[in-house]
Amino acid sequence: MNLSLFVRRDLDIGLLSAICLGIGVGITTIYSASYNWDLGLAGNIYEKQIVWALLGFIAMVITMVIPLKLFYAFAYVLYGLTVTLLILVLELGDRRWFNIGPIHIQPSEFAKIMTVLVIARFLTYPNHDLTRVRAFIPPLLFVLVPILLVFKQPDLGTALVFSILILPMLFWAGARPTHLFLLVSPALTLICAFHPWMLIAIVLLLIGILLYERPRLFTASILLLVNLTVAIAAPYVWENKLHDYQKRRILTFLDPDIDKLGAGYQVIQSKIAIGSGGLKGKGFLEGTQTKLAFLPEQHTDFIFSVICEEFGFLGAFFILALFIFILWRALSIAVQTKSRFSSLTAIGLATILLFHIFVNIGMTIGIMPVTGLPLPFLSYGGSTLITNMILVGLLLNIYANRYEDY
Amino acid sequence: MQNDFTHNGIRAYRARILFGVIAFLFAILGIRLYMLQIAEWEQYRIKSEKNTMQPVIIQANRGLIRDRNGIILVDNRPSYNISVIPPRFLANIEEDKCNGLLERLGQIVDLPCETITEKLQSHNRHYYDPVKLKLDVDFETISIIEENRYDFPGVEIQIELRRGYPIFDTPSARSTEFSHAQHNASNPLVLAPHILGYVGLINASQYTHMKTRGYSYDDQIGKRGIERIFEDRMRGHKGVRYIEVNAKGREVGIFPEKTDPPISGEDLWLTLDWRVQHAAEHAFADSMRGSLIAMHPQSGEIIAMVSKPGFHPQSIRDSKAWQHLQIAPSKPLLNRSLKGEYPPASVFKMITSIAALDMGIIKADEYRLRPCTGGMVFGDRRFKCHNKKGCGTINMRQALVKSCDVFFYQLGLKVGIDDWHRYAAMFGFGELTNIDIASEGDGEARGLLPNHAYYKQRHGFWIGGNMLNLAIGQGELLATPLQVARYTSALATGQLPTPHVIKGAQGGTTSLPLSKEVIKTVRSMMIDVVNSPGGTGHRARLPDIVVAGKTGTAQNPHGEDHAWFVAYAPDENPRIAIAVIIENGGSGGSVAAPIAQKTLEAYFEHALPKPKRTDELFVFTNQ
Repeated sequence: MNLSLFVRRDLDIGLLSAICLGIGVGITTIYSASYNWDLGLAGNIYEKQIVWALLGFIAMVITMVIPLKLFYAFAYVLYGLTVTLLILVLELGDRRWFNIGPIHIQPSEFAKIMTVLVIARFLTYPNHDLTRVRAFIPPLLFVLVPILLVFKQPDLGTALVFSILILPMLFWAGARPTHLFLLVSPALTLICAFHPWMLIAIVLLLIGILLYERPRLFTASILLLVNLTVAIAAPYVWENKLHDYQKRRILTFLDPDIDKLGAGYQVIQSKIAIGSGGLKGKGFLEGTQTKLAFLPEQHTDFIFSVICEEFGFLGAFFILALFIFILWRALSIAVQTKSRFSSLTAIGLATILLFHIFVNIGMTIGIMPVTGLPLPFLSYGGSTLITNMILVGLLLNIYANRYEDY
Repeated sequence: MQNDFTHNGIRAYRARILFGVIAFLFAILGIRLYMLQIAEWEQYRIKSEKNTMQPVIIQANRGLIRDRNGIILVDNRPSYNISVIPPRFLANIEEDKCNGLLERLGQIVDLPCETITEKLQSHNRHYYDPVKLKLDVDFETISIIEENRYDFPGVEIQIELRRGYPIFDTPSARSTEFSHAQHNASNPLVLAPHILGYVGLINASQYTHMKTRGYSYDDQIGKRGIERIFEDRMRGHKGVRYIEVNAKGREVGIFPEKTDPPISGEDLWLTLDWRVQHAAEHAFADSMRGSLIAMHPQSGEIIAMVSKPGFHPQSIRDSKAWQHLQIAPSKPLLNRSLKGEYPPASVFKMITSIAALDMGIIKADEYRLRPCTGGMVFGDRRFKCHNKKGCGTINMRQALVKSCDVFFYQLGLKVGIDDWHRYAAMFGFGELTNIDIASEGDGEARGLLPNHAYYKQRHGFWIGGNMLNLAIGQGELLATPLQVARYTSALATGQLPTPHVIKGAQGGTTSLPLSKEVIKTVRSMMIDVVNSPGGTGHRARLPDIVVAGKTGTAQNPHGEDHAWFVAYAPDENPRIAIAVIIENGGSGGSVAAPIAQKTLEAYFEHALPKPKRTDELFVFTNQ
């Protein structure tokens, strides 16, 4: 293959440059976050992140050259392996990590990509009539298994990633939005079960959509039954079955202010860091919140706060623009690709990115719960960065082979 | 469906909707950022400049562990730690070399200077968090630090609550007068250390995934036993207060209105009775290894549970003593009651008896089997009776009282492996007892109850000689002391209970599918074992109460025999069932029975003569 031709025709240079830019900003910010005024130097974690980035690039290139047909053919096998790993890590590993010497491997990271592949593989099969209930069941099971396993670790944030990624993929495959609403209605009912008016609203909406869609009587009654059970059981379980410490954990998740010491303190300090950055920021290495260490986890979960403090609204705006560009590239790859499998995969991968970005940034500015989901390409962490690079490798691979159909 | 998907117009339409969602979400982020950074910038800038508020953690009291009557078995006592806030301390040192201030501090706390430097540079912490330099220091060191406090900026004395273990000297001592046990490793006075477990410093790999649950890197966490299993209930919830610091990091004020007080952990009530536990632990001679379990037979409540040798839970703080405990050949850290597996020997003869009676093979008073001449030949081997002179022509009652092996060899052959296995399994052998302190803790052993298939798989064949050994509780048969205690309870009541240690835990019982007559007969024989003249269990007799029991002497290829004794009392409406094993103790009747007797004595002395409390203590008694 001619390399220059490859670069001109098959390489999504825009996407690749955006990723490189993101990683560069990430390393710079990690340097700043670990910089110590007293000592006048930074810790060594930014060096580690450079090593991770290099390994990530290698992983990306490898993913780029593996024929997509293989991903298609082995989707179920890969998924099975991943589920096995998730079970093994609960039993043998450290619940979340396999510790191999100094390296921690977190299988739930890779499980996200494998789950996307297996759902895409399933939805590629042409005979599924997405107006029928039974077509929804296998994809639901595909996400339910990793959700339960990851939830046991316990890693609520990552479990949520799995539950979200199915919706855009089903939509992309042709499911009707009203059906998707019916699919998620038990979850909505669960949230609304604690407010009478919201509960009435959601039930009315549900009945309205059922009347409009007119599914079979059996399906409709099952749906109503499930929602009713959830609405009645949720407050009962909350009152009678949960220990105080369990309730506190859930409440803290939803509203960090309850826990002034842990999550609440982090969010308050993060908001001060972001707000005090102003339009232009305090300047590189000048963030007082960061340097006086009021801000915890600043090189991992709260790295966005460091950017906002030191580079201000302009810096934040730049990061948001960068992410929008990356997501737009992923979407347009999904549009251009001929193969249905690749297209669906691209949508799933884009969803993973979007969810991480929105929840992480939302957390730093206090509109999302503190979940511990990292910011893609910027947060410190080997497993995450390498997984995201594999994800990008897949996107680039799909772009390069966008005319291929199988 | 398929067609409209590949049609690019439809795809582009869907992509526009998805991009609309993305744009919407990013708009929310953008607007919020605009509000924080542009609209409310002034407000946050001031907050950031004034941000001299630092959180200080207030530790929560860990829940206490009490016995069934509320007597405290584990409490909290204050101890002094010396800690350093590195940035404040290091600000006064030109280089972090071992001289001057560091050297002096090292001398006072008796730590090499390198260790201090290392500790000060540990990473997993908040910048201004104090680093604990030395835990639990004596008062002398505290006063030296206190006198020189202006020479050591950033060095602080913290009071922290640590686990304390009241001393139980004599059974007559009352709760309020307990002094605290000295925390040296050899102190044997702590009751039931294997059940209580211990707390220790959270380790690095635990910390990485526990920190989201509010643990910090130098927190204490339950490591074993009850302390570990009920960590969530007992740890409580930390509080926080905020202090104002100046630019150099010194405390200049407080914010009382922002204080979030800590919530103490839940107290845990056990079913143990410390007086019985105390008597049982002291009935063991210092050199003995073994286990004792006393259980309320109807409910499965554990009244006492001993595993010897024991250890002091505070030994974990002394790494040398701890290492010694870990490698000691007598395995003091092992909870023998749950994890020790032994051949049950003659205490298993009731199983063979029950099988024979229930199947109608023989009656208790029938003289049908061949006489014992001190042994019998089966196949090409001679199987000996422990009574070398022979027991003569006897019936089942006499055979159990004398623990005649030859009689049970013959009975075992008549019962056969399949039925024998069925009856033994009824009493829970070869199965977990599901005791509440094993579920997430250190676990329990399953024992081994072989059946026909086991021998086929393991050895490739089954020979009748195996049955002879199994009939007297030897051979490839293993049981934990807890399983044996549960079996004794079942003999006492006809129901198999689920043992538990936490008061109020739901135990549940399983009825045995046996006729009442069979159980009644076996029980009357067990009374004879203790009370008839020449009965092997006579050393467990009590003056006013009828005790029923059985001895066992387990042959052990690696050394002295293991001594077993099981008992329950009183005969009518039993209130306590006991299993004792002394490793390499010798004969069950002479070594294990007296220990059971002392425990029974203590139980009936303390637990019985309080009629008002009995209804509370024994909920399941009358059935």
